[in-house]
Amino acid sequence: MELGSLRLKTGLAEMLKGGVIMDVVDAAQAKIAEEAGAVAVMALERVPADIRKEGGVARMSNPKMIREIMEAVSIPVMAKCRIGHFVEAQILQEMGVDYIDESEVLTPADEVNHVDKHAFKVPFVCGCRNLGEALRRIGEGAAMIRTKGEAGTGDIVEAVTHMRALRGGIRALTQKEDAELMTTAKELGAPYELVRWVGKEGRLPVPNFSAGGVATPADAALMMQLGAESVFVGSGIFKSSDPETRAKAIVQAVTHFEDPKVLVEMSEMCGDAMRGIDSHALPEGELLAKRGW
Amino acid sequence: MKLGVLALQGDFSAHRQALVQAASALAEASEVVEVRRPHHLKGLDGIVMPGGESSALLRLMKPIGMGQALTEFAREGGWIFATCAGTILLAKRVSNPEQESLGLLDIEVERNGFGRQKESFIDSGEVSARFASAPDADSSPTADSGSDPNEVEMVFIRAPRIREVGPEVEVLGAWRGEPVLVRQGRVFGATFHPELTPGAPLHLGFLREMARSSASAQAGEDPATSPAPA
Repeated sequence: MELGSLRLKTGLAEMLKGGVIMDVVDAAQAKIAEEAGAVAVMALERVPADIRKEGGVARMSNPKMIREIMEAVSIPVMAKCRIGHFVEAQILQEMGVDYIDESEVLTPADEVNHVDKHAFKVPFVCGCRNLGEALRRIGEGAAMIRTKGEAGTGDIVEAVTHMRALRGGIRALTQKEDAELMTTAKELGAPYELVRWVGKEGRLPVPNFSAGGVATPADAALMMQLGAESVFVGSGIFKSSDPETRAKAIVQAVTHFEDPKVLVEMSEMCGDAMRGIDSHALPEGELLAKRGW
Repeated sequence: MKLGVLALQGDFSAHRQALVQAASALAEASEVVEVRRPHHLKGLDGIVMPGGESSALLRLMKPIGMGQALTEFAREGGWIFATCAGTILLAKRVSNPEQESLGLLDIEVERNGFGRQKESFIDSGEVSARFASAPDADSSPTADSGSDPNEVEMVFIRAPRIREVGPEVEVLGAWRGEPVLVRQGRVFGATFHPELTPGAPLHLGFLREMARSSASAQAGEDPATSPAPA
């Protein structure tokens, strides 16, 4: 019997495609997310918008809170560990969370190395800003990639930039001759075998989701039309005026992302979006996407 | 034949590839379309209901009346092959927790029956030879009768378990003696993910059953309305 293999890890990500994964901070929010049609929830102590506001060190959530969420819903539960903090990851694996997000939203524990994800049976999702970063994480064993965007801003611009960089990088690879691929691997800082694979197949070997800055049904549909296979929504839902309605609207918008009639209806349904922060107004040191390499 | 994949949420693109691959192995001329609205079911001979999250799928089906449309599709003689979450949606009763379902398969299903992702596994199981034989095997209705079941790889991801099987339901596949692939007339349900196994052997089996049935219908009989030969 095969357990904890890469096929099982990416297999769960396959099942989450075309869905919305929502950040929740307690069991009550998790129930609202499930009721709205979320395919999974991300359990964390503070949504990124609050981490930005309150500052301090952001760490893995208390296992007790994560367990309450796991008991409250029937959908998969994800949780975040700090970049490079493999002991937080060990704790989350032991608890039986369904996916670990090695996330730039938390304060990094290692400024040089990410977690060796091959050493775990639980699947990992990691963020990226471009193709090289995506392939480095996949090389370390990530079973799902999400573009980072700029979490906690409600500003979609960075998510778009990262998704375009990733998709453009993949397209460019497919145009290369075999003889050029080693140099490309060197330039990307990515494993050669993965560079070859992507050049041949024209896609990542694991599902590719989008995160960071989605606040409206239109934002979610935009990311889907740009090539995301699912969407993570963090602060966008529970920092809005009517989280239940917005959660439902974003779920419908992701499924019907190419149907403008549905998008009109879903946009009308929503109250006020989170106010948001222009991500270009943030000082360099406060950009979460810059964490990790 | 014209086939559809319910494309509201889940691994529908993997199913689409599996169907295209199986149809070409059978040398069947076929078209595979994505079904996102009830009217997309029009003119289809069969549909696949993919794996995904059944609670999310329910909430996507409800506002557009997709559940009712699928029930009508089955009543009018359409073929359905459901996997994992799809099977949960078709069951008569769902537990852990209780959940609405269409009742097109007389089975009781327990969601996440093995537990969480850490209990997900890949193992081999047995599928009736008639359903899982190689594409070049004799495809006449009685060709495989009496032969031993075939070993097939089964990928279980946060899989449901079939806890009860009604009298009209035929068990086509088992893992360690437990039913994991069942059939009631033209409706098939698996608790695992045949779309994630290379070569799509069970999609092949599904299309072959459809082809056999239309061949027998032309000969004046319809095997889908009577139990298939053992």
